[in-house]
Amino acid sequence: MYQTLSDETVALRLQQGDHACLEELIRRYYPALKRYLYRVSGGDSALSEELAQETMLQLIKGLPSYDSGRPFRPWLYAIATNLLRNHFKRPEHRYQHDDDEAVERLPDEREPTPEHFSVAAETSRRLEAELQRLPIQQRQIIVLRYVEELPLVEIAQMLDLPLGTVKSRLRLGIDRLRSALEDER
Amino acid sequence: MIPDPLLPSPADGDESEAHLVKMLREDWGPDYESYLPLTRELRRLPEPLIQTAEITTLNARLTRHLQPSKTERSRWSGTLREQIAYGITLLRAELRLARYELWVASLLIMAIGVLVTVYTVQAPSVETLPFVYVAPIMAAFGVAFVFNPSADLPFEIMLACPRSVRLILLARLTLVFSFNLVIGLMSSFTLSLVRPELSLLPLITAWLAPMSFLSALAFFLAIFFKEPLIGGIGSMLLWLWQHINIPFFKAPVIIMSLDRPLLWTVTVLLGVAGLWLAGRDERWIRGSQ
Repeated sequence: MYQTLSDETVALRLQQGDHACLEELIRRYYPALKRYLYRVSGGDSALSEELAQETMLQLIKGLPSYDSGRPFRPWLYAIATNLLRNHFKRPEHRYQHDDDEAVERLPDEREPTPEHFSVAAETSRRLEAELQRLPIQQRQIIVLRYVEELPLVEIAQMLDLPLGTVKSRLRLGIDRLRSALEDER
Repeated sequence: MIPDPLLPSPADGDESEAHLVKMLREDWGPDYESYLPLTRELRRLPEPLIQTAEITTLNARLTRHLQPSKTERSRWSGTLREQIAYGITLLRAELRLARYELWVASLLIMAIGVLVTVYTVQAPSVETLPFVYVAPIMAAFGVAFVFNPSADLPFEIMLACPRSVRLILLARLTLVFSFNLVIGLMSSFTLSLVRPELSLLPLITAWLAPMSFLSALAFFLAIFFKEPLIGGIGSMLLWLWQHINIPFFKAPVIIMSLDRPLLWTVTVLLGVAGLWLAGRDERWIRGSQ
């Protein structure tokens, strides 16, 4: 019944007391949020799970103040992004990975598999490492744009940045990734 | 409802590739192809594992945090302050959902009506001013489109909400009619300022009752026929009928009524009948699901 409804309608219904809509929102967004957090956090499965669940909890808590006239998706991703930002602001995370550390920091479920020995898997490893070397502001814009497929305008709303800044960070990040990967070839 | 973790992610497949190309074109213009391999690789990066149990547990955990649901009755039986807050929330929600083209079109038509009136009136007689002709028609068309099941995206809200269709339609009706009323009053005020020979009160009286009547009629017809155009055009024809003198085919006495109480009574009846009919449709729609 809910599949045809827009996100805003489902959120409005949940706001009005239709608890069945919660499952629908989880179904729609939990996997995507976890994927986004996983990629931005550098493949930390436990952290992405914790933050994705916390995002959904914050969604429930913030629901009474949600304005159904505004788009739902940027609102939800903004919660996730803020949680991630706060996580990285903690003192124990105030450092940048050096190159080798970033390469070796791969999630448990992907290591070791035969595919990693192939060239494609190697490219993937390098790309992930280079992605983690980018500043988080560039990394999250790249992931939101090309993995989560959010429009730039929504990303700008979500991060509370001017559209021009989002575009320039995207360009900077993508160009850095591209040149880093080309240098290695 | 629970996603299968084995299903491909949205980033897979031809459709996804086409979408990626579209995004890259938007972002990089003609250079987009040079970004294609990199972004393709980005989308192929390994994804986190999502267990069905993880989602089930999350759902159970979050459900505990939800407030007990309030029924419509309990909302309406709250304090006066709560009721007012609820009414305002409903109006605000509908304000955002209403088609903005309607507001713009109404404003434009009214502005044209005022301009034509200012520049063409020679011997002012409020009953025959172009503005007085235009205002009720404009309002009727606006109101007719508050109910549009075939092409109205916000209609989804009606089907989905625990609120009744009647309440939602009443909120929309209030918004659109109030908007028309405000621009009608502002236009009359402007006219009386620019053309001092036009008195404000007679000017308002000339359009207010016909505007209300035609709006109610358009609303009723739109709901009865489930077609807003019929509502708008039906009202317009009736209004024209009053002003075009057709021999042996006089306009109904209701609209010609100069002592306005009859017009107001019919207006209220049409509005109530429209809302009642909408509620009947709601039962039919919900019953068939």
